[in-house]
Amino acid sequence: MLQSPSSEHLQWAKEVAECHHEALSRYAYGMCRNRERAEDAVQETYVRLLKQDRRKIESHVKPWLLRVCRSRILDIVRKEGRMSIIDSTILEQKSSDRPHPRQVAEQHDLSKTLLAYVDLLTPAQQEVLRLKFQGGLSYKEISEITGKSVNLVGVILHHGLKRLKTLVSESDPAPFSELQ
Amino acid sequence: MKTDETRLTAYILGEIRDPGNCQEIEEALRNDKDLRTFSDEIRQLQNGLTVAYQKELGDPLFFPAFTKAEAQSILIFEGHSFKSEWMPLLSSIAAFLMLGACLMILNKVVPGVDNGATSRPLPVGWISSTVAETSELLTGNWENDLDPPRSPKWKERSLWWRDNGSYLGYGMELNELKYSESPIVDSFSDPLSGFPLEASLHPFSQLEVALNRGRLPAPWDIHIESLVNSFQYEYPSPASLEEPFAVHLEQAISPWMNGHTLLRVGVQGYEIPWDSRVDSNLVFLVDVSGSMDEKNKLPLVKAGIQKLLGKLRAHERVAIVTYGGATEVVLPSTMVVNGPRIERGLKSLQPGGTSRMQTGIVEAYAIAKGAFIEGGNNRVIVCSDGDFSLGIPDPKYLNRLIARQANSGISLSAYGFAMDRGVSSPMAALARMGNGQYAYIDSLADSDQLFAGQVSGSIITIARDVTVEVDFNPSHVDAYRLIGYEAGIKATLGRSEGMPLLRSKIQPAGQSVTALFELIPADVANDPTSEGSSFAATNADTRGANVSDIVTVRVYYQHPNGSEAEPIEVPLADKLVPFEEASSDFRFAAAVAGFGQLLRNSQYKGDVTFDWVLSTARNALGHNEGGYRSTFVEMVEQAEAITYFDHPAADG
Repeated sequence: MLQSPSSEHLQWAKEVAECHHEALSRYAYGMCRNRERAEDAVQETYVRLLKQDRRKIESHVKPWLLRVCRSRILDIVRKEGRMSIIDSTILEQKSSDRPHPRQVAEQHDLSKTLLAYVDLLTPAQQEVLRLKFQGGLSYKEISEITGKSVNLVGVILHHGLKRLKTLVSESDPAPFSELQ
Repeated sequence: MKTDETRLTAYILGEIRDPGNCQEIEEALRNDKDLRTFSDEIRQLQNGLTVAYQKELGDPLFFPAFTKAEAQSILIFEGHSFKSEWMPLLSSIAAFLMLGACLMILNKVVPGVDNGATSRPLPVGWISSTVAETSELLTGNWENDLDPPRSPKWKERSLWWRDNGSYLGYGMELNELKYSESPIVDSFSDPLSGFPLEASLHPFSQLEVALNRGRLPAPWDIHIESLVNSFQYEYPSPASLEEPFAVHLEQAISPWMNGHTLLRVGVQGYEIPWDSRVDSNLVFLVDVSGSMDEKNKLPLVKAGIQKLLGKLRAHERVAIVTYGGATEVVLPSTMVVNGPRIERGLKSLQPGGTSRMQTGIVEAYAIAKGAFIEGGNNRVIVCSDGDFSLGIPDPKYLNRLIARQANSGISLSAYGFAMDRGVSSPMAALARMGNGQYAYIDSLADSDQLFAGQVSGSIITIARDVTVEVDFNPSHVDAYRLIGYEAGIKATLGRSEGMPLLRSKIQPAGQSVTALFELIPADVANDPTSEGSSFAATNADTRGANVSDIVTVRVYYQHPNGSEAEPIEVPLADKLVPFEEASSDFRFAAAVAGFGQLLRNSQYKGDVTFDWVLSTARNALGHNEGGYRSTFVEMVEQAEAITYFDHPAADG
């Protein structure tokens, strides 16, 4: 049975939420590319935070938040998965969220170009890159969130970066100086 | 140890901190030019990605802080769809001001609201003119941002708050809180009950949407019978049309009230085999206005039609007419065998424009008439997300048109895609007028099932004037309560009223309905002298009943040609099993009913808790076709979390 949260717990949860809100929101948005769903996932994460025993998560609250958020997003995706056939339509919409890197490159926005190339990586690579460079998490924390071993996280990240490097180099012979 | 690139990546990203290892890698870097180049590129990507992710979202989603009062407001913010860039900031300001305004009103503006003595009480959360600016800001925000935003009546609504500051619902009068519940009925004085053979799936979808957005619907919006009937139960179909209904009865010990029992009455209509259906001539009239441009609207229409095509015979016909900016026949009546042509028509369905359907419906009927199949299923199917009668200068003309066409053999069904419930009833009325069906669709499973229903033969009438009568034996049942059916349905059919009134005019094929009764068994055998009951010793009518039966269900009906048929009569002997030993369908239906009673905060909910609902539903998933039962479990979990914030101490 749920217990009423104490004012002390609420205060703590508030502080945690304030501290990690931006990272969590960005992560959620990046995962599902939909503001509404991202907001839902983040808020459900806070709901879980309020129900959670503080002592159990205090030492690793950020990875915990991201893990809960991730599982909420997966739930949402799974729920959409029930619409199996229509998914082709949804997937088309999703994949067209961001135009092809070459089109983006014409806008001379390097950040957007880079993210458009990230979209060409495998889902696992995309997720690990996001957790690392957006969430600023360590391999170990990423391992806790994704359920993959620390070594595997390192390998996925490495191959993701390497593939990204190849993609960027192939499209533009001298891209890296501009990324500084 | 060799310094490979994976290890080097880890080093660059700060994962290797051991001084010995670091030294080794740095030395390798000094000696190997390729490694240095690789290292530089990874660092550049690292910087580039960090900046790119930072810029990706623009303004972060913003969420109010977690003070206790603000925690309540989370429920409201969860209902938001943050559609514009400035909305997050404005919303947080709004929440803050709203809370302030509520506190102010609670303390000053409506001091007497707690005692409930006000004859027409002010809404507790109403933002009064004393805080007019706040009001404008807030109502503007809620109107734009809270779901559902499209109701025409939306502007008349406001947010309501309970006296403890928690969210109550949309635009409700406090006195609406005094909603009714089906009462416990003495089976001695009122042995006859009944229920209609229609149950809408709409409230289930609405509940799902509300919970997904972090809100509980108002108690009076929970229709337990609709929730229970939102799920499929395994009722074998009658073998033939000779006896078009099968009645399935099951009784077990009540899981929530000591000493009571639960009775499930399932009535299954004859299912016409797919192969023996008549040929179809379908005209889809599709709303392509701008508002249909959402994933659970126009894409669902397309996907639904596409799936249906796979089920139709090659010589059956489909046409598509759109209404939006301009009426367009995107697909003239075409035989299913011309697949590519139909595909092209479907692909050309693009949202845009505003809804005006007058010319569209005339065109649709013209096409249906042109391809009319004598004795076949000729039907116009309207797919819209709003009231499709809006914009028609003369609604009476529309009514006349639909009725005339229905009489000439072209029926009309209407489907509301992910639309606001407030606008569903006019569509339902028109569908009834068109001898068709109205339903709410927000998933492919819905559209698949309902579109298929339009050709499967379910539109064939298997009976007319159908009445279900449940006759309790007072010697075994002291009292009973029909669970659900609170809204506008009289649960009991007393002897003074003669024949039951819960009549279904036309019964389409293949439909089933489930009703649950809570029974209070008789302690000792009573003298069964209740007038009206077939169990009455003094009632020497033809409806004989075995005194050992606790209940007899009768289905009265007419044949489709209007001639009176012999009633179907199914008794249930006094067989009682523990709840855990009941069928999974029975337990699942009970879990759904228990959940509904919790959400309604029913006075009859007894020992029902969210925990019980969850564990019972999880153990009774059965075949779980379409994943609906799993969805139910998720809904209960969501509702539990929301309730927890609404009444933090209540469920503890």
